[in-house]
Amino acid sequence: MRIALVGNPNAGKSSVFNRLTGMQQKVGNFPGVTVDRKSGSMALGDGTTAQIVDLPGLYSVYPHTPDQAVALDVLLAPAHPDYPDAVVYVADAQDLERHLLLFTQILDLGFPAWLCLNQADLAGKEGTNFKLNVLEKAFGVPVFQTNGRSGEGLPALKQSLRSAFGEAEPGPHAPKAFRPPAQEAAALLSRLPRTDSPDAAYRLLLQARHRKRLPKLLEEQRLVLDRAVQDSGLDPLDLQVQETMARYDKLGPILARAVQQRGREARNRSTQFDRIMTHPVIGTGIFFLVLLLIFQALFAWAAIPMDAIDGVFARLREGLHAVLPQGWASNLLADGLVPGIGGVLIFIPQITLLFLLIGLMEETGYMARAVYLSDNLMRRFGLNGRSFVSLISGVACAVPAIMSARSIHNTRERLATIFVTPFMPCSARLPVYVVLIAFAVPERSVLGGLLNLQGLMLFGLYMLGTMVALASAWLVKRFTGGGNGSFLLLELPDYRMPDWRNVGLTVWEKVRVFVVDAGKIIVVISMVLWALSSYGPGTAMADARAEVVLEHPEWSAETLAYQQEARALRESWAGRMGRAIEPAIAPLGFDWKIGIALITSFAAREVFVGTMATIYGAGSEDVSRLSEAMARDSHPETGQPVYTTATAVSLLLFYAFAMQCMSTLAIVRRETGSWRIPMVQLVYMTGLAYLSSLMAYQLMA
Amino acid sequence: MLVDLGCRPGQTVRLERRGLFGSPLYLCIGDRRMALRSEEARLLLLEPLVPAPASGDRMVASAS
Repeated sequence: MRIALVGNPNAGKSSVFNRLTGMQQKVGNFPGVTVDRKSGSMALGDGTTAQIVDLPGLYSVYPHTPDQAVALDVLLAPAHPDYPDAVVYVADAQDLERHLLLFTQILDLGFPAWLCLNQADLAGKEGTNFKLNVLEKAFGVPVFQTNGRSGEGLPALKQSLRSAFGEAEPGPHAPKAFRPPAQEAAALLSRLPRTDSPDAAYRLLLQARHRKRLPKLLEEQRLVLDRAVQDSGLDPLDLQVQETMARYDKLGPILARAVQQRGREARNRSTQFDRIMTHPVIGTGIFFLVLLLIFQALFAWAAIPMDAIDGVFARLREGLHAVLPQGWASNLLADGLVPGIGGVLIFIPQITLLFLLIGLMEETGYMARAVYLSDNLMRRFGLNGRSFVSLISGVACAVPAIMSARSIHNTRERLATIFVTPFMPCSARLPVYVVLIAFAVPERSVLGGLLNLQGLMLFGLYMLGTMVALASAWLVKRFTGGGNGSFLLLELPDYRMPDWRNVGLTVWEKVRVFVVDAGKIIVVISMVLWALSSYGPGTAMADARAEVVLEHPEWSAETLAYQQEARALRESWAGRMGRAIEPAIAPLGFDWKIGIALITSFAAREVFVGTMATIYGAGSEDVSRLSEAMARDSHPETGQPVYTTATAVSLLLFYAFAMQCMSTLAIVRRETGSWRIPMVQLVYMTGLAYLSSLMAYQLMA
Repeated sequence: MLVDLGCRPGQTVRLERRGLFGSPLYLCIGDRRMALRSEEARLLLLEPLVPAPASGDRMVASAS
């Protein structure tokens, strides 16, 4: 049994979904497309379970974005693997008329349906009352007052679903038809395959209207629909407007009988609050303060749990060396695996905080205001206010950020957003920034202790990434003659208290994906690197150690041990790889050790810290030890330090701009349908990284 | 698309505010709050309900 959860965006569908399915959820993709597919199971009581599929939010059966088209594809194609047996429709009770437009269309598609008036309690507090029996009679389906946040009304809904699916035929349903008079569409219908079922006829009309956007439609069906639309000479937009207005005309009298509405206090309060929050000067100032707060939180607040994780892994590593007998297995465990796992877990606090803050912006309704405030700036660079959501999400991770660009209607703006989003300073760059900033920038308070100098440097890097993303978008606009067809149509929802359960589940999912997906790569690469830097051809490494003792017998034991390891590393497999690319990277101030890190972090840039920690034997969980080891390192021939401020700045710029993420390239390929854009991205970003590092190093050194 | 979002002919349109450089416009259409760029907002056919004020942004009109 499959039940689809359908409703407008911001109707509270996710809260209802979370309540119905609990933690029994899976996040994946709809078949063949990269649109998020959330599904979960709900026990029906008789030992069977129903699969609940949360479809992307739709305003009507006339989709505006690719993910809305996927939702429609599921509802229109009985052959679709996610085609539902029934629909639970979630409508925001505070704006029932608009939310019921799609509901009447769902009824006309012939689905058994349950209607949830979500957040009815909030509407009730403002004096709005609902006569459920009037709605049930009008629509012919069970109606419930629910609140996805508190769970109110959902046990009754579950009970109704259980009793309905326990029967041979679902439910006490007699859905009423809301189909508008067919005469407008008669010309088109007469040219389509004949059907006696009104539901099937409506389905055919919609398939004809959206034939170019429905992936599950067969090519021969598409050709038949194409011909029918051309022969009928019907204006599809006209048909849509007529249908929509006819539905509103039918809904009006029903709602007049069923809803007693008094105040709109929450709406008025939000509009009043917006006079401050969307003020061109005050609102923009607040917006930048929010961004600054996020960056300071990532650098300052996250430090406490990070230090705790740091300590645990440092003690674990030392403990393993003390307890286990010397040998390759104990070295692999203590110097390869443990630092690798530590290098993943250390970033959980920052990722948690970032997604918590982004989740709060979305839940409270502030994200829509951020889109409003940023649209004018974004459009100057050939983007859209909605691009802001992708760009700000790109601060966490480019992969979901690129997927979120689906909500941008204009194809050129969408592709431009996808193209520039990887420039945004994602969380994977954070470890690299942390290490290099700790090395190059003194830890000092400024502005009377209000701000931290290292935090300001981090803020500067984030601003740099953002500015380069915008400048690149402007270049895209210049070269593609952008601007046509661009528009913004944005609803500004009421401000509301966040649903902590929703925010918590989102944060949990993002952290899980980071630990499982990115973590696997980091741990494996850390172990491979340990092997490559621990072994070399023949006796090369042992010979190198012996040479140091012979050449410098006067050195202290500590210096000798350090120089022996450095020389041995140079002769290892990893050292040989780094030396092979050294001529190309030397003008940037990078030596062969950095070369190793560049090679390994091509797949995922966060591997840089783990690589450097492995090379310097510092343990990737210990940023200060790594910085100290880097500061001590010197060129064997000249004795000059390898890492200077110029090297650190050059490296920071390289990591700020280079495309070093296989997952991002893969997701861009899937979102754009070809390798063209990801390949252009790879060449453009890496070329820009090389040139800017070269200029910075040559000027500063 | 506006009709999908519940904006229909006959509803009252109030200009609440303009963005930093004059766009987007923050409109209250019926009891909905919408943000539209000035280019799109120009496509709305409006009939003034109250005289436009001598200064300031607020203007109330009816969509048709």
